[in-house]
Amino acid sequence: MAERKTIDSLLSGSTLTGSGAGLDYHPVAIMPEVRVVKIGGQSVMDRGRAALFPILEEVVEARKLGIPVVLLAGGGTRARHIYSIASELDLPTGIMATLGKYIPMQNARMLQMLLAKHGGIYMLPDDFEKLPLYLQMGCIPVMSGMPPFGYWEKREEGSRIPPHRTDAGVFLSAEFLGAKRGIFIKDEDGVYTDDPKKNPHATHIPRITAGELIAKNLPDVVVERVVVDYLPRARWCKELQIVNGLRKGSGAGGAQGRRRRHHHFGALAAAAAPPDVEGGWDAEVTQTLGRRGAASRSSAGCARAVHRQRHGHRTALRPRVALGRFARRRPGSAPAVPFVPRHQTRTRIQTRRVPRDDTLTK
Amino acid sequence: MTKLVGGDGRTHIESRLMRESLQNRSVLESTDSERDLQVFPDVSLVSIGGQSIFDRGKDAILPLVAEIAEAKKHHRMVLGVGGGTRVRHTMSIAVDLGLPVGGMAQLVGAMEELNAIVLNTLLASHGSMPMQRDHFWDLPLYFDAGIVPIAISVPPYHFWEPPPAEGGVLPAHGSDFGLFQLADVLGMRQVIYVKDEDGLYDKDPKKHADARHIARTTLAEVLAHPPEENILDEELFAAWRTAKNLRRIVIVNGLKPGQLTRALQGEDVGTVITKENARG
Repeated sequence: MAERKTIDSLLSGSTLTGSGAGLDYHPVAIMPEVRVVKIGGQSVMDRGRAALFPILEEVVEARKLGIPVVLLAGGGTRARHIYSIASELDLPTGIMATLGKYIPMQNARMLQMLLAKHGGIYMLPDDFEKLPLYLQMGCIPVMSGMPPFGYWEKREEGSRIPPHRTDAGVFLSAEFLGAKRGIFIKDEDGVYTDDPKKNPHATHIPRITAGELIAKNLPDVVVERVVVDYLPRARWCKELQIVNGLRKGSGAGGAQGRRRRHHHFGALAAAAAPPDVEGGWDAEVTQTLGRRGAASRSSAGCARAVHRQRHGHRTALRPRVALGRFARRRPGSAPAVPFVPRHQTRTRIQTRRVPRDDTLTK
Repeated sequence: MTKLVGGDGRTHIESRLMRESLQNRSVLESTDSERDLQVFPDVSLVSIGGQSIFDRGKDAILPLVAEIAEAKKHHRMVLGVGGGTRVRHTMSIAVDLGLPVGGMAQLVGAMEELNAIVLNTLLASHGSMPMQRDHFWDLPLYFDAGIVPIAISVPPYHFWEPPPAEGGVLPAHGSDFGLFQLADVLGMRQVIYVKDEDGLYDKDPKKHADARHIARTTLAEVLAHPPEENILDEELFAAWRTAKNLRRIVIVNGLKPGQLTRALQGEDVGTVITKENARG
């Protein structure tokens, strides 16, 4: 009988399982500057334009200032609907995972259509490698948040629902790219001891490590449990930033809504010069930037927001003002983002109708 | 007609899981039940080892091809292949280059696919086809036409391979695991792993003359007392612990003609691992 024809290598005799002790491994970050941002399904998309448009405006503004962003879409109520029906039919977890991935795809396509004039481009998992091209061209890549496990999704004990859903997709994308954090735009102020929509006595947890969160063994958590389990093992993505896209319930426009936008703008900008996460494997689940950055939000910012709402695009951020916001930087942080000439900021997503010829009205 | 429900700023479709975060344990348990739908219960999945069979060249491959060509007339099966030494080499280089674990996972599947193409060229005249990644719904058509399909074995975790447990560097989800998952989700009869040993031993029989062969065991036993060197992916056994459908894994020696056929016939040959309390 012929012998096994092997190629000599560091791993040639091994079974490829077990710890990597003894391997000379120095990981390389693939694209660490990319901001990986989740647009919540149930929390944002299912609220419609009232919640979504202000968020997208901020994404567009950030992109124009040169911040590389990739958006991942959550699922929402349609996913829950199909999971309910598939559960009744006793469909296996892997089939449920395959069914569940269509809804985030739809949401991603919606986002892409809304962002198309700003460079929104839809990515399939197989296109993920084209990210450098899309970002170099100034695009805003959008993809489903669902990881491509499909039929190969593992079942977890006591549940039929696929454990790796869109939060996991965001974390795993960030981890692969070597990004320091994943940003989740949801409709809660972060982590609570229980679902605050169901339990009015749920208390808010401003800052916690993954290990502590696991130890608390809460009945309900704002982000998928597998992500909390993986966080301590991460080599790169050691921080989850959960941003409230709405600020406690009211999704309406108006000056209040406009001011909220600046909070998640802040979340993206802060990621330009992220603080070093201290400690070893324990990562921090941090609170929305809005809370931390509240002190730096000036009344001038609110005034601009109100003015813009009244006067349409004529009051799009003037470059001077935009740079002003970024001029306040910590020492040793990333260099200034490129200046974007005003005529390139002219198109924007409107929350109210604009005349077809794009002239101004009051 | 299902209702659309509003009132909290979001538009919901009425369903049992409406408004749920899908993290609440009691809600999740309500989705579970005693049994899963068994999609293809009369099909066996046969995995041909990479290192154990393909890397040995024609002396090992051709007799197996002849055996499969005959057995497919009597048994419905899906084939899969392992990667072998090229996988190990790919990983060695990837580790040295510092690629992330998701990058390694994305790379390795190509080596398994080479073996699948080789197998297909040899079986094609007897009726075989390489399967598209997740085109399981073509299977009834293949079986009707007397075709044995060759599935893609490595799961499509790709760049999204979860980070390994603390200290780990290599992706945990390889071809043995991928084929297991496929068999479990489709409710198949059994998975037969064709390797170059008579099955499981308590230690590696290539290195230890006194290694003891295990003819029949259970998953619980394997998890409680894992052999020193496991011939199958560890992740497979971890996933089998929470999987619901697969009842039977058989490990046979592909270098001994006839063992695969006997396993397809349902005989106990090589090592048989069963899972108690599996539905089916």
